[in-house]
Amino acid sequence: MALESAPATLDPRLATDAVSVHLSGLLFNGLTRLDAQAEPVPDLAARWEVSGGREYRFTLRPGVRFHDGRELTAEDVAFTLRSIQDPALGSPLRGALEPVESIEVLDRSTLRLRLRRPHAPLLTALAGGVVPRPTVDGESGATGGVPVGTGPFRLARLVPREEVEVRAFPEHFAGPPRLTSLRFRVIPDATTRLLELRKGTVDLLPGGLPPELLPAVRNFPHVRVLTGPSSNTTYLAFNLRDPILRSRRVRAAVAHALDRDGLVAHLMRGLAEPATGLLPPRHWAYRGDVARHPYDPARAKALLDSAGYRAGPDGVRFPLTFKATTGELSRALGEILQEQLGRVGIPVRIVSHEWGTFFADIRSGNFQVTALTWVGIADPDYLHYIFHSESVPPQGANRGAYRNPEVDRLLDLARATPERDRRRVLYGRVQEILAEDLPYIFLWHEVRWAALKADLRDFRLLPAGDFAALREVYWAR
Amino acid sequence: MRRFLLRRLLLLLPILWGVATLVFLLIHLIPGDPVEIMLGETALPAAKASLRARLRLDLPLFTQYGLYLGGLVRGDLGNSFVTQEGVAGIIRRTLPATIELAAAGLAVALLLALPLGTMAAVFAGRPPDRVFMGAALVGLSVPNFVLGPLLILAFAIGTGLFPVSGREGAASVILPAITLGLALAGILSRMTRASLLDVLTQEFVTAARARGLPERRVILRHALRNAAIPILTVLGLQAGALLSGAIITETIFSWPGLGRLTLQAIQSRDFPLVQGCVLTIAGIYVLVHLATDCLYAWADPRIRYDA
Repeated sequence: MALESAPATLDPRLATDAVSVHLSGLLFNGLTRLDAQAEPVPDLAARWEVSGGREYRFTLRPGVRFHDGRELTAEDVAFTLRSIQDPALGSPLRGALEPVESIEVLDRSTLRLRLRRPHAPLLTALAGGVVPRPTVDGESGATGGVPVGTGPFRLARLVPREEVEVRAFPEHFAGPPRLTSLRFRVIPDATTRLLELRKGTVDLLPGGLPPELLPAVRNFPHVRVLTGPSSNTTYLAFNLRDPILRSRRVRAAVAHALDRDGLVAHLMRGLAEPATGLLPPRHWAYRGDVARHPYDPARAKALLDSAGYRAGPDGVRFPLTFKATTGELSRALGEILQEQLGRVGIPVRIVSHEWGTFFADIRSGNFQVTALTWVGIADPDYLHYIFHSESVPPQGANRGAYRNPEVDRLLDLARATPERDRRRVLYGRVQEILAEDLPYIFLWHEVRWAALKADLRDFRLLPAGDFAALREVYWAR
Repeated sequence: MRRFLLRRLLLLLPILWGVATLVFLLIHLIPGDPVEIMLGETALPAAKASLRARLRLDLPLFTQYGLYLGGLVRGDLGNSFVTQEGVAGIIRRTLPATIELAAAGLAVALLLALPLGTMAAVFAGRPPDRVFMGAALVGLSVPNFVLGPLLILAFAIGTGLFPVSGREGAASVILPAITLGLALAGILSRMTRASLLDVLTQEFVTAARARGLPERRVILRHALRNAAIPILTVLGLQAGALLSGAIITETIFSWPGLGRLTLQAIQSRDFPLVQGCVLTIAGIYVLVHLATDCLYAWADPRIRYDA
């Protein structure tokens, strides 16, 4: 298989980039895992009981073994969670476990977590991989040397920045994978990855391929193309600190001026579905009957007029600056924006920066309009992280400084509500308000595509883009 | 000569110090926080603070600079922020691939440029000259990101003789080397032609011909050597560039060289690795130029460095 970049780490507690998360997902299991609707379901935990929203009691699946043969116990889970809470490790998951007050091992297979306050997203956070507690010589399973997990594959070889090889773990609790080994090569250039597949030296490209290459691949002999929905959402973000963009009418006008179906059809070559909100349609908390602001330039102009931004003699109402990355898609989107907003009297200037600079700028609020993609949307508590007034950076990712007390209240309440159906209603209301307030214009959810040899069977594209389906893949030869 | 070498090698120290200081300032002053990039936005402020402390990014810039220079003096380039490996080790593992590709690219360039440039000069104004210089112009103009995939299509997929990408086996260096070498061959062959044409009008060539030396010998033994200085100058500059990493070619062929490493390090704001890479590149440049100067002395015995 070919990957676009190398994993920064295989320790599930430290992984942040997609490749690290997906590869460590082959080597490790969490207490929970997320299904295709992003709902937490049992993995290492066979079941759990929640009492009062503040006490979680997990019973582990019996007979689970680590790659080194040791049996998984509640002590390992406790060690993992405590190490994540320890600032010394520097785990990015530490924030997600912040509400956990105490971790108690009740017996070999039972674990109790007490929370400071009810925190429904906890079960999603517990999908992170469990590492074995250190053995007598003090070696932790994941940081020192070879990572040891409970996953369907174990690490066989790692060449930093170039290659990862994993072998099937026959004692995996869900049965051994069907392939005996997988080799991942890092090939940064998408065209080169496809040429490797064309030659037959790569068997499977699990994703990370730009839409414009799809037609060429369809003509490759002995190659099959799979498509499937993703849990990624591409959006246009406004900086609400800006005196012009503060006006909801202006934001609605921009939404009406944008031909989102056209963007999907041409920019994404049809490999996307138009978005109505942050959550993709298959998500358990998705709500679709929200305001949509269809393409209507006349309405956009009327809204701008009514907001007090009449066109001057040169047809210009006000200029906007679009901050782009150096990515091709980002700049192409900027150009389309330039064209479409230009037609309603808003000339757009595109400024494109290398990623580090770009990211620092949007974090510090130094932008007017920008576009980015949220990748792998899992728990709807993401909405808290992006739209709650407390989440303005550095605390979270409310980079446009959106503030709505009602949204804040609903998000706080949903966070503290363990019952799934009540949470769904609360998040539904938030999605409704966001579609009217338009701190973002949600553009599309990309459609993933993978290319593989025709006789490779049972590979499935999962919405999160993870590699869990590799367990079932086999050769029909 | 020995004193010259020693003096030039000593000069390496202030140059490296200058480069170290410049790159330190540049990378710390451009926007982009390594802690943000490593931990992601979800991290708690406390987690960021503790990582910042661990990476010593919380110290005043001047103190960080002092610690960095102190490390350099002891030969310690520090550890990568991302993988915690020693920077010196990472670079050492990258160098063989870099040198291999650069040497192969140079070989391709020289093997093409010297014969073709010489022929073009000999047949100046006649059809072979036009054909060769036209070819040189094409070689110069086709960008690497077009040439690379074309070569892969033709020779890796078409004939199956070479791997598409990666660095495995001797055959794997050939396509990237051609991709790199072709553009360089274009420059060098034009340089060879121009320089040789200049030399061929000089009196010693006329004298050599008058002595009845065969034209072959006149060109190869006498003229070419005298035309070497400008060619060597260009060659030295280009060799430095090849050794410091051919980012596009390395990316297309997923060649694990210094250019890709530097690019990745910059993107992840891996300060110690960026600094290490830039220092290495600067060092390579200085050494290649030193080698070029030594070759001048070989090409033109009038050039002496001890006087």
